[in-house]
Amino acid sequence: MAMQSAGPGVKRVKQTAPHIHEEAPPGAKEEDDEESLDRISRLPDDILGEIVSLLPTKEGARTQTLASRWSHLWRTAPLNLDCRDLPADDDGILLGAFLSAHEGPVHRLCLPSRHLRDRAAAVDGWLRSPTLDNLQALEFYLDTPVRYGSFMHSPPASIFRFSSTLRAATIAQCHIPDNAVEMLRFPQLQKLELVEAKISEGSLASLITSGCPALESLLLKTCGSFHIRGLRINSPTLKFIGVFSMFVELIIEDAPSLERLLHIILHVKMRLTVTSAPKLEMLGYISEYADSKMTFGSTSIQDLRIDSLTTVVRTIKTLAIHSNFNLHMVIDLMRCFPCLENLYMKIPKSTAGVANSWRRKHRDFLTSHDIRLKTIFLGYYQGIRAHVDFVTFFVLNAKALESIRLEVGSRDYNERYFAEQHSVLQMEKRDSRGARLCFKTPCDYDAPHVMHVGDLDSPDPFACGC
Amino acid sequence: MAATPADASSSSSEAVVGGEKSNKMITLISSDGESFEATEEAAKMSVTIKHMIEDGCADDGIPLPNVPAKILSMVIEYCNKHAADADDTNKHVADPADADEDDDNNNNNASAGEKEDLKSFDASLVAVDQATLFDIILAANFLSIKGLLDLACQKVADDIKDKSVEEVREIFKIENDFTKEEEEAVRKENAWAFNE
Repeated sequence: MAMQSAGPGVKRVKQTAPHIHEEAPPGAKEEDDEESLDRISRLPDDILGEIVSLLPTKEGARTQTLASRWSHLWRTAPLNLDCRDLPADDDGILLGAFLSAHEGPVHRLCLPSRHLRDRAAAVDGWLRSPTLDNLQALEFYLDTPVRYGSFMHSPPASIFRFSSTLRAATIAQCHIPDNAVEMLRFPQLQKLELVEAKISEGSLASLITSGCPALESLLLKTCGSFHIRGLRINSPTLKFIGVFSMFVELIIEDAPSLERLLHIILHVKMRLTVTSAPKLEMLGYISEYADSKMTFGSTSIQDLRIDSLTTVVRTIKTLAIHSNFNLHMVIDLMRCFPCLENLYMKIPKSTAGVANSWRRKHRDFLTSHDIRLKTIFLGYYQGIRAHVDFVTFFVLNAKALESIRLEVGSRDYNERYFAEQHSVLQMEKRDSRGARLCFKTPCDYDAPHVMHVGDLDSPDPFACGC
Repeated sequence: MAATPADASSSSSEAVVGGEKSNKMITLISSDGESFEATEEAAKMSVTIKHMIEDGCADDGIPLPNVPAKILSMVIEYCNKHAADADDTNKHVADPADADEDDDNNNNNASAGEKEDLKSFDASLVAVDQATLFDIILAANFLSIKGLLDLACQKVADDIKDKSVEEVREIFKIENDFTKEEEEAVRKENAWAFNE
């Protein structure tokens, strides 16, 4: 019997114990048998049901036609019902049929928000279907852009019956009145996404603190009419916050688990006050151009310039800024965030360079500080003097540097340019031998690719995978 | 700056972060008689094994009659990797403002790079032939390792996605035992699923 070598760290003990079990284990069949064996059908029903329920609605339904063994699986497996998978002209007929006919539980239900407006009574009826008794994720997704000032409907009362099981909720184009919020209790809710939801800041704060005691991820998206003003965050469990709004004002009063605050739009005003967030390590994008202000205790930063620096903020490891490549400003930020490891910078296109000569000017900083930066991402690098000086500062002085990624125009995206920059940026004299220089083409989409609340905890939300 | 508080160090073995972390090794014995060792912490990623340890049945090694050596070594690899990751995120500095330079370096939460590594480790663990994949599923089910079971089931679902019914039958060698009439009937009932 061939033995595959053990992976690293798997310790095989030298002596082997006597055979415990005489029957041949499943993995020991002969080669030719394996070729023609239908192994998948031999998995137990509940596992096959699990696999089927991971498929999109249509494909899940199709498995019924694979073979007789499969014909009952979809009907009894937990169902993820996403209306985006159903025919566009369905208008709820199929949906209603599923909810009454499906024998298994429905774990996830996604409905277009227009149903709340056009078919409110039907929605209420669907939500009362017993198939939804253990619903874990409910999503009213935004399918048509909202007209400014258009009337917002409230979510149906039947939404409250999922309180004890709901783990994820997306609510779009809804008005959640203050008296309704008092009654909302979702003890299992971990992910909440509000898109174009009309809710007062006080109610939202209370929903986060008391309504959702297990909340981990929060995404707030508003456009046009609604801003996020004076929102106070108090939550022992909240880890990730994402905001997309024309104006954002957040006060993090007490968030012991908060790790990330993602501001998913450039060019807009952001006011951030952090009173207590001892684990906050990822922050951005913060703009230099939009009257942004950040306050950490008594340390305050206006438009990315340090107003007053009383205590450094050691927790921040990843920072994303929308600004010019200004070394002086970045050095000040590094004084304020001495443990910074990852820096993302997006520069508005066709911005004139600033003087970044550093050898004399920043000698003091270099002798008294260790630059801990590991990764740097700069978009839109143009190879002008200001940009070259900026990058070489780090190439030659950042001992821990692992990678520099430069987003360049498509005209510059060629081997000759790469080689030229490798030399101009003095990579042979780099301070960190492990540092690598990479290039990428520009992405159409400026801001982080966070589309849904589930994206907030992706490993590298500022990186562009395009 | 304030001196480092004595109990905030991460490397000391007396540090208690939500219960004791023992360095005890557990022996696991595959169906074909091979023994493997894993830390108690990694082994406890299996709820089945966790219960056996807590019930005191683990002292002479735990026989796993359903899990062949090849699969068991992969399962242990998974547990080792993920137990280490869970451990990282549990470490934290009591008060960042008081910590000195060393503590900051030791108490890093898993960086973006490490999380990427875990993801690619997971991906390569399940990039195996069908037979092995299903064996992993059966083992993860038997051992109650939710993360591994979810990972492997998702891989199978990904292999089924975007394929026609005929293609799925081909890939998984599923014999179509419907009569023509039966198949027609099921297809008709679910006509909406077959329209593109």
